[in-house]
Amino acid sequence: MVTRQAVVPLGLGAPLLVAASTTLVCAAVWVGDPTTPNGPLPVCPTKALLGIDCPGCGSMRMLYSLMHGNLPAAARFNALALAAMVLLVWAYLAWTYGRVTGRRIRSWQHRRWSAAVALVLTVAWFVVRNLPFAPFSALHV
Amino acid sequence: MTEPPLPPPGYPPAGYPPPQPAGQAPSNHLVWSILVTIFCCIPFGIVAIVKSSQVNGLWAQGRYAEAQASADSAKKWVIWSVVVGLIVNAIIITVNLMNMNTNTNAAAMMFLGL
Repeated sequence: MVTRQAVVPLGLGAPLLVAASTTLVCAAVWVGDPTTPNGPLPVCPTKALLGIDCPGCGSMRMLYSLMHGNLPAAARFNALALAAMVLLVWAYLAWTYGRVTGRRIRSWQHRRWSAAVALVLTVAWFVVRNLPFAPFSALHV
Repeated sequence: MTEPPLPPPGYPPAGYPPPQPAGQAPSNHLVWSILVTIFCCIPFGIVAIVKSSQVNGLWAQGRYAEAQASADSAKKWVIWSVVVGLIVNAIIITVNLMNMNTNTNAAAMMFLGL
């Protein structure tokens, strides 16, 4: 390709933008400390309005715990989001690698049933963590 | 897991739109759908995952236009989720910061004996 030299830096722009945004969010969560109530960071609007835990509730506290090396606390705040973090990092690395090498890398999200599995897990998580009786009430955050 | 979907046949039955030039299913935007579900704090993300989950199946059945429509719809819900999530959360952060500022001012005034 004649334009290869020009294409590569352009291709890395998007991964770098995502990395920068992620760093910004992580820094905000680190400084804002969502595990201490009444901080600057928002409580989930769904939770504030409806009083229920959405599938994403506890994600910032999970991220905060994860950055401080407290894996059990991270899993306690949002186990599904913690699992999703692994997949998201994987997808990011595969995507970035594909950008660098100029090929489309097939990652987990391109598989036939990935989206269906993600949907079932998300909806099940939504239901399970809002069940008002033991042992599920322990999942409430 | 199952095999990835095969590229569509070169010549679909009459009445179907022509296949995508690349011969690959459109992006289902699944990663973004999951991201906004986790971090935008509003249920739009779930709708985006629903739309994402339709893309590969429709494509494998040869329903290319519908697959493309679901992919576009997933993208639309991701964008709305980000926009609404950003606006709502920015408002809440601003209110929180103003409250904290008020509290800090009150604390400072108490400290100064005012």
